[in-house]
Amino acid sequence: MSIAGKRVVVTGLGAVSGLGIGAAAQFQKAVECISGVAIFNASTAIPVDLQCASLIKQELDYGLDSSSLGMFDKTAHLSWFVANEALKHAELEGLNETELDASGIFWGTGFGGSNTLDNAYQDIYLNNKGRARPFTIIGVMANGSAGLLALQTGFKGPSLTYSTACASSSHAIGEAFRSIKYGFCERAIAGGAESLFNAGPIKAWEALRTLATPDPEDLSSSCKPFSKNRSGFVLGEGAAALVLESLESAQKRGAKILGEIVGYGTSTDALHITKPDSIGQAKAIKAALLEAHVNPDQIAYINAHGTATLVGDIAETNSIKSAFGLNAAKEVLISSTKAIHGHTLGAAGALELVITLQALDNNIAPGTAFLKIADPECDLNYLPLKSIEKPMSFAMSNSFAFGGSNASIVVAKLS
Amino acid sequence: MSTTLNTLIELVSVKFDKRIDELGPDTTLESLGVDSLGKIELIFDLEDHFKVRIPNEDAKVDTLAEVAALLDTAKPIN
Repeated sequence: MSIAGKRVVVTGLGAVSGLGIGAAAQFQKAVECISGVAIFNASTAIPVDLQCASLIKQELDYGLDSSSLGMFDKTAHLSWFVANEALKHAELEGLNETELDASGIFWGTGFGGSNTLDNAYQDIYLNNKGRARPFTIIGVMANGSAGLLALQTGFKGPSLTYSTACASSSHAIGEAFRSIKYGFCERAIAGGAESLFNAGPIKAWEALRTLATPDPEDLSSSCKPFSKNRSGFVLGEGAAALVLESLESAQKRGAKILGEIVGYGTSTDALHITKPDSIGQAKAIKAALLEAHVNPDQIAYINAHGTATLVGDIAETNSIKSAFGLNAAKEVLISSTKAIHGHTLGAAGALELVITLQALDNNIAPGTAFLKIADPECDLNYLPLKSIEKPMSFAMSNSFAFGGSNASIVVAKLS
Repeated sequence: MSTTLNTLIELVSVKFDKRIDELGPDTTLESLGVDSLGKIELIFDLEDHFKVRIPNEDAKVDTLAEVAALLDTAKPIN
């Protein structure tokens, strides 16, 4: 291994969200700017005010035995669902013991096993059962998903869980990239999952006043990133996974290479627990560009964090200007696909990178849905309402989390 | 067989998708694919069904007859 480290490529994608099942479906809906946000009418233990959300609408066949279904949380089930898709997409199978020892799991989640925790609280506080089910801990623990992935895949290298709120799965993918690059493992399944549509977390999000005001004319358009009339984000459910491996590993087995991860930058605002800071964000973007050895004007498309909060979208506009310089910032195509799949929190970075990689591969930058009224303070090329075809060599995905934890990833077509 | 054992066998046949004639007092939990974690889950459900509580230190059972005996001597919940 050289000082520069190994090249790290993507050979498999998997995803599920309110947009549908499968990585391809996410990109297709993103290109068409079709929203997965709909009325929220799921039953909860106590009434909630939440009016709209982007929930997975299909019944999923997880391919798990009844023991795993009963023991693990829905978040872990979703994790396996997308990891399985990504592994099949990569045609990664039949690994020997040495190869399994060099295979890692890097996973992200914000709330972990939220459904299991809520069920336990219901048993104890509402249903007067006086005790929780025996597997509650296994369902709740943040690394339950990584544990299930390990049992399903037999991967015996590093198995690590990152919980950095909305940047969780970006950090998971970035750290997987680093681990392969610097030889700590040869391949990895990386991504994240989130499913928290139960009373406790919904009530908590409602209390924080960051959720979008439902659009009375069209609930599905309630999240309006970078728009003058934006009012916050819509909660989303989802999971996404990538198979990463060293270029040598992928070439040796003749795998189809979907893209290369060339840069990963992280930084921390250390300023405010929820208010984003453009200076901190710009540091992550610059670090990713520096590692990628690309100039800002080489980035064709940015999948923005773009949560549609009042301060968040302005901070990101400023951070891109700061990191790219004004000229390059004005040129780059930028969109937020959160408008259509909602904010999937711990899964967001992975889901958006899955879309970004397909944008790169297809030379199509997805538009920002529902951006009808421009905000003078968000004055970059945010691709209102329509996707654009453009030759691409490099693309970027940003994730900026509560806690001031930032991540930026640069991907490239394999050269 | 005791009433408890008969009931237990019925419950176990449903839970583990077995025919009743496949099960008996000497059937081991291990033969049903129940590991240490599975035993905890099974005892939890049996406690609810029989309305009893089994202390942790008493949960060292292997056969269905031993489980039935444990349930018969367990402390009822009010």
